[in-house]
Amino acid sequence: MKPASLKRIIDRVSDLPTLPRTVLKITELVNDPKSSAKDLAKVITDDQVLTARLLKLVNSSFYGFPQKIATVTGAIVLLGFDAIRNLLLTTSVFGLFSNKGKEDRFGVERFWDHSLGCAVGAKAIGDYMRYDKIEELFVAGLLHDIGKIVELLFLPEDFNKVVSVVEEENILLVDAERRVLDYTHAEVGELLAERWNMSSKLVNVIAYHHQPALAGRFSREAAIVHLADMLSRAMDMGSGGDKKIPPLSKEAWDLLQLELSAIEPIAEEMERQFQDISVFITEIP
Amino acid sequence: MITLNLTKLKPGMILAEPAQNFQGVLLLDVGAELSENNIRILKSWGVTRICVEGKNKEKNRGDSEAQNEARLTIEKELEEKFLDVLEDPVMMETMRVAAKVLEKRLCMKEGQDETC
Repeated sequence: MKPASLKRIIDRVSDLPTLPRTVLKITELVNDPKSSAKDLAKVITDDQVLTARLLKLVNSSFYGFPQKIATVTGAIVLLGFDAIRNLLLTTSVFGLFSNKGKEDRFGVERFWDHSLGCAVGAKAIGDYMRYDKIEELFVAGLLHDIGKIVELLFLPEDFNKVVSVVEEENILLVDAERRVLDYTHAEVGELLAERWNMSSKLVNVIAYHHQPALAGRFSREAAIVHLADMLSRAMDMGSGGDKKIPPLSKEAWDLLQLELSAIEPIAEEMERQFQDISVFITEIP
Repeated sequence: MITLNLTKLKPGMILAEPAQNFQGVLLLDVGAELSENNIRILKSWGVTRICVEGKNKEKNRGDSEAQNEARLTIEKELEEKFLDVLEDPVMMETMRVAAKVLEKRLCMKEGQDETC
């Protein structure tokens, strides 16, 4: 992205949403090799809402742990620091942007459904490939299009131009962005992810989910989210803001090393989890 | 004779009507038997619907008009969505799987659990 665009976005979006202070503190702790599970537990348990959300998520059918996890310390010990941080990011983002129950004036809902679809998709693909850190893939899928939501809520003039072109010419939103603006939602998302101190893996996946081959050492993760994005559009899980399906990048398919026959079981698992989690989301405190 | 979506074609089916491309050029004539090869050729020409001989085994027993309408709508919307990307076998397979998932989702929504 050219420096001029970068500066312009920063200037215009000076009020980029911030994560709750607790989550930022937790990110700090997680990044500090000297902190212990006890330190982390203390910060989390100080925030009742966060505790409730975390325990609810960790005990949901979504994670499918065989035994009930009753304490925050228990959750930390079982899942590890990174997983906990990612879970907290997930619940915080839901809390920040979710419009459930409120009037959806800006049409944010459909973007969230699409993001959820991509999140469960990334998780399903990761499960299939026996990838190690599934929660990271889930969060990456959830946040891959966060740039669109920032544009929708904070850069409405630009976003309206893009939407007009999409409607007139029936092209992909990202292609309309490239034509009309000098940035894309991938770059905006990257900016936000950096602002939120997310791991470089997450930042890169968000930045390159349309061109996974460019994500360097995170190309595989980017390819997973790229495929999940495509599948969630194919299966009408919310809307990416346009009516076309982006072709799957050949490099992404090669990176993933999946057989054609993998698509069906992955898609069916995705559908199953998407229906489950859609119910779950409405119940988050 | 029945009209089928390209994704439902199988080798051995016989064409009941000539298959043409968008310019009206004849690709396969009436009576031609479908094979893996010529199905692939039809796909690469962007043909999406073919008339073949035979009874409509695709229709589920007891399906209402409305359900079949809905199924056709799903297929039509998918075709439009995938119009530009069908030469890729991965996208083709995705479209086939998506149709299956969407039909099942519709079926479940309408409470037809036994036939889903």
